[in-house]
Amino acid sequence: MSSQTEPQNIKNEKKAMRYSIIPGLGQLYNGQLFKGIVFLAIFVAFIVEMIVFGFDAFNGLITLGSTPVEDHSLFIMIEGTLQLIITVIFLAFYALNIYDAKRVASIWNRGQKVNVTIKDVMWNVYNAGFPYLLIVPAYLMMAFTIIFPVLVTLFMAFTNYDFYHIPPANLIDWIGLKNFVNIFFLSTYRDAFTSVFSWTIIWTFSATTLQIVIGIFTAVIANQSFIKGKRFFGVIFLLPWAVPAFITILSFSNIFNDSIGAINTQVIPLINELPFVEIGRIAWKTNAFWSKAAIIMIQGWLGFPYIYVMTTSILQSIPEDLYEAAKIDGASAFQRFREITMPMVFLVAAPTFITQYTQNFNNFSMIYLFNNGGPGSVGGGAGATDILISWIYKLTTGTSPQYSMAAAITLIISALVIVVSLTVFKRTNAFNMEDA
Amino acid sequence: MKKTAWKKYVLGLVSASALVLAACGGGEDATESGSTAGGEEAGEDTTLQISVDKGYVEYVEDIKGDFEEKNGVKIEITERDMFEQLEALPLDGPSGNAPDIMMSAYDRMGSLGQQGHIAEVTLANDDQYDDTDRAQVTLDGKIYGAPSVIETLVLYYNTDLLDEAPTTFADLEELAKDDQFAFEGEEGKNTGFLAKWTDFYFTYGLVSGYGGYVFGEDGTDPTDIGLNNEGAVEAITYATDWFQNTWPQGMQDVTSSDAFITDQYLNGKVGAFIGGPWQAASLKDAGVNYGVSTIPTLNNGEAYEAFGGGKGWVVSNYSEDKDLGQAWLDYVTNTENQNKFYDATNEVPANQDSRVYATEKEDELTTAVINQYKDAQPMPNIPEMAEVWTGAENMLFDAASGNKTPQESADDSAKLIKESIEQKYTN
Repeated sequence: MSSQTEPQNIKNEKKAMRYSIIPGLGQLYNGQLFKGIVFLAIFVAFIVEMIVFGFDAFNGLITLGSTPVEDHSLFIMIEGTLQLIITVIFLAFYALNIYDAKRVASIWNRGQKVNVTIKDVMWNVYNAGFPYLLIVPAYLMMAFTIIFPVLVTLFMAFTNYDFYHIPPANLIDWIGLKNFVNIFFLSTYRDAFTSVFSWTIIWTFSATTLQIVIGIFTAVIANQSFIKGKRFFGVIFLLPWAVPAFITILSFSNIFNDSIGAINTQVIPLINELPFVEIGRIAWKTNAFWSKAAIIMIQGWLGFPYIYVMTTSILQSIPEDLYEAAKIDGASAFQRFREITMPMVFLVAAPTFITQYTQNFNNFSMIYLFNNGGPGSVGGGAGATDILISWIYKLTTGTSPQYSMAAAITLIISALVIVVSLTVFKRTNAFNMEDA
Repeated sequence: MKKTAWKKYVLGLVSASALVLAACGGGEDATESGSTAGGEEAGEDTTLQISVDKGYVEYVEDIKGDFEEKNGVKIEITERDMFEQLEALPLDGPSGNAPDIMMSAYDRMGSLGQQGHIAEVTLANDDQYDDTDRAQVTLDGKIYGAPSVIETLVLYYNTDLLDEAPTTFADLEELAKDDQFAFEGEEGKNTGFLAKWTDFYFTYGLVSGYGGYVFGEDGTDPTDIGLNNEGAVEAITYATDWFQNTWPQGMQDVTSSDAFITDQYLNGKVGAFIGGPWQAASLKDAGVNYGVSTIPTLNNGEAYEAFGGGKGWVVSNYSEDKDLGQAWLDYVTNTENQNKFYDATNEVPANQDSRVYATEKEDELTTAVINQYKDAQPMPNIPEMAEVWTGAENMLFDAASGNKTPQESADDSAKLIKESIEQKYTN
């Protein structure tokens, strides 16, 4: 090979990279006319975009407007965020452009074939870059539909966007970490945050664990071979799921009424008919502890059918001979459950269980509809049974909304949920996306 | 053949990209042409968007004809719940979707005006309002709306069970000893007289009658919170006594005590209760007999000084033609239209002449509201009031449920309200 031809084109890699400081020139230097022109066009387009829109948008993102009414701080922030994403995408392209110039130059030096004509370049893109071609629209889409709103929320947490600063009548300003500092240092927010947060954790764990336990329990029982009328039970267990949750919660709110609710006037007297049982009326909605107990129980009732259905389908797939063998070996019913059923269920359902936890962490409708976070209060506008998400709702609605404070708390919540979920997902190997 | 196919692709590509570009630019184009069209047509065929509650649509339809003719505009009516509309205004306004005119509760006007969502207006025919009316729509000396409806609490009583309206709280205490009102589920509890006193809107009359207050003399000083003074504590103690010794447990639940009161009343288990004028319609629909009177005199001889509230017309600050909005406000609140308003809705008009007109109709509810309104205090409309609602709700709940003594709960709430105001409203 070396005897055949000497490399006709020696390209200086450094030089190619240096040319590429203006995208496209490096490619032209490498003799790739078409690619160079396309790259140069993208560069020019970006420059024009920056001059027409970008510099203003960036400036706006820093100042968030200067004249009230004329400048709408929120729109300015949104434009700035858009520009930020566009710029990041361009910078990625810019890096790619320099890397490309260097790579092509080294291909020349090695004497391999370089795609110079339009047709060759297109073929190369089609052959080598097909997966990228498919995935780029998805990434672009993601940047604007997921990252963009998340960024805006993130930015909002560092502003003073509240009822005193509602655009366009007033301007929003950057205030740095003040909202986060306030959450931990101003007494009204600190008290509210610590007690709301600890109740949120207790609520998430008790309510979700309860619904999972009931779900698995009912599924295992209903799947025993000696149970008659399985179909009948199947339908019965699905009923809580069949009725829209918000209707159920609202009616439960009435059923648990202290004075005229069915629980206190009918259910408890009925239980009291049993010998040696004497339960007084319970202050379901006017005592913080009992309100919490009621909410957890209702969520157990509302949430178990989903787990029940899932566990039932998993149980169908466990081979019967496993149990047979265990029986012959003398395993008790409980041992069979612990050693065979449980691991099999968890192997399949662990990710769903985790999502159940995150769902209850943010189960707004349950809290809002049952008692609207009542009774009483823990300061900062939060009630005794308010969880973080319903507290945020109270912060952002009403006559004196605190949007930036709510955004700051949202960030804290998201960070928590993401960290916890990721850790657990990783531990349980729930999303093992590597090739099997 | 091959060449033409290639050209076809290019043509396709070009037109496709043109489409994409057009789609991107589309949004801007549309709003631009929309706004210019609106501006140009201003003289000829302007439309004025009015958003009102369901119950007022017919009334506006009825009176809009004259206004359209006189001002050469077309009125478009949107039916939307008032509070929903007011909450949507900060977002709808800047995007150009908000109506020009809507109604607002008096206590919302202050914050909406301060935040710049509703426009400053003037009151035409100034003599038709008294000082209380003017105070309702004024914040920092700026007027943000034209008063239209007045509301305050009244006493409903069951005419089948009581011969005449109770006139003092001693009468109510007698009622609560009557066996026919004994509450079945809980021993020793009685529903002869009920009031939603965990809700501060309902308790304020009691607190105020005993000498408590919010935000100083005229409700504008956020540093002066009179909820834990001697009088206020006396009032809370009195309310606590009802909660603990007379009323069933469920009355402490602020989210359901409304339903509880109505339920018990419809079952003939309530002699009298304190309620708002808006409740009359549902009682009428339920077909029960009721009488309406002013709220009885307190045990210390003072009147029950409930909050006076109501609704007024406001102009969106995002409206393109605020003069027209002002004209509508003047038109809709003139005596003739306020009279019509009373006839159409049976709600008590704010206009003084119309109040006289309404009194002449000898409607029990109207008379009771007008009489009670004389003792009413305008509800503070500074934004800090938001803290009072939650703070005072806790004050009553903590005392009523026995979690704290009345003095403790009053002190704690006053402190909480003060702190929240200091920390949230520093600007």
